Amino acid sequence: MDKDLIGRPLEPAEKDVLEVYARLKELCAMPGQAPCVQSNLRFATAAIAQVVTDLGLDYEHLYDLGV
Amino acid sequence: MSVSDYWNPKFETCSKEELRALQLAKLRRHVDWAWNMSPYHRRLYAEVGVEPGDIRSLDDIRRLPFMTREDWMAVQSEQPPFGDLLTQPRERAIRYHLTSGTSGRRPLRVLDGPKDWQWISECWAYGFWAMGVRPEDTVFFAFSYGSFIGFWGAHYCCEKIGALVIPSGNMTTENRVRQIAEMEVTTVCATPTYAIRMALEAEKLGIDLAASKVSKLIVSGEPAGSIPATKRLLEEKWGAKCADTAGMTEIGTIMMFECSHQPGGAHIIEDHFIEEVLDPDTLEPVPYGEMGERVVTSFGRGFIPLIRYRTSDFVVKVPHDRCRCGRVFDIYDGGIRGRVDDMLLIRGTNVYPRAIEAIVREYREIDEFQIRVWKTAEHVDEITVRVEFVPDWHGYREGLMQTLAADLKRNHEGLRINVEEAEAGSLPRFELKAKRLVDDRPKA
Repeated sequence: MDKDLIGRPLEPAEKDVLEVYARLKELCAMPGQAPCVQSNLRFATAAIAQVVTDLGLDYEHLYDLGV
Repeated sequence: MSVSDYWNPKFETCSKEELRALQLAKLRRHVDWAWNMSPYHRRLYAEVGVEPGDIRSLDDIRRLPFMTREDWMAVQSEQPPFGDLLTQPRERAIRYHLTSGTSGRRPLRVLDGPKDWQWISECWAYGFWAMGVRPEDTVFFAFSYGSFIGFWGAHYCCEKIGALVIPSGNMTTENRVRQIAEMEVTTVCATPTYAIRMALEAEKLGIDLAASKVSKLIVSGEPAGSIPATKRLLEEKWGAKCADTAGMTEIGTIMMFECSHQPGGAHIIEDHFIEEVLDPDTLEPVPYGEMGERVVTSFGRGFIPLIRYRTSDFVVKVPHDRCRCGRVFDIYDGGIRGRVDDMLLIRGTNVYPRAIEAIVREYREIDEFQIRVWKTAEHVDEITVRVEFVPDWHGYREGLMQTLAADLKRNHEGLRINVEEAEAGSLPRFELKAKRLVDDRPKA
């Protein structure tokens, strides 16, 4: 993805945010993690999802990840 | 350290075209989500033959049917506790809240997930940041933290900002006032009614709030925060700037906030909401500057999608450039002007409780008031404003009540509005939403 939801090219920091977001979503989906890992990953993902939404980089609901 | 005056400069200061493009992108995805995940929405849209792919422009939002509180109550009654509105099994939720029920109707129930609560606090953060709340602030919440959503989101917003939060839970009013002074609180959050009550309590205790560190008073829960006389009273008593905010449990957060420029209204958080203003009879949009009913679409909560929800709130939208702050968000001039279901019809004249409050609050000698509507033996509707005077005011009460009655009459097309004195301490005091209207007319 190289543009945001309104078609603006992504800033370098925005690309970084999207990378972290994608990685956190992958981690949330990984089975068999300790409760401390799983729960805190869910809350970290919820926080970065808000950054992603505020910056108009993506917009989606993440309940299937427990987020 | 952040130097921005805006919480989200990218979308608070973008062009109007970009803002509309963002709203459209979110609307299309959210309608698709609701259609696919909520049986209620699927049924609602199927009834009028509209599908997500039909939403190609912002104007297409008008193809979507309204949600109403009555429908919401009905589906939750038919299939308790949540109806078929949920997009997710309740096991995925982390929080439950319900409406305050101040209007005497069955409360609405809502559920939210972790991301929803991030968003709820985020919308508050737009407002708190705009009013100047920063990490160095100490914020006091005069709020009981119950099942009513109230200031919950604002509490988390302040933690997010990095401010020091003081929750006051079940403290007495006296203890709250003492804490505010002792802890050098800079920002106080309360309903307007309760902020007045705390100010009066402080006077009784000999605490000079105007000389305290409090510089910001953020109010919510009642329209009074945008009534000029009430706002002036609050600002004088607290020696602080007062900012109005408004939200609703159905949204989960605020959808408008007043910035530190205080433009006489509140900015709509337009990157997270679409706010339509419609004529309540024709359901056609009204132009800027005209009063209409708010219809809200929220992009936050996904558990219960809120799309084209008729709020019954009366508002007047004006362009964003009414304010000098630089935000592109339009403004609700005068905040929430009233509610469709608040209107009283007394001998052919429309009377709104907010309009009465606006006049009563001009009288500093009046401490508390109540509006009583009743029927005479001849079946004529009567309206009486009962007033309680400030305890240490010993002026000519009869004369003041006559002046107030004349003022009320002049502002209500000549309608006679009775004014009578209530015994000191006899009228109810409120912490959350005030309920000052007592309708004693026989129910039909």
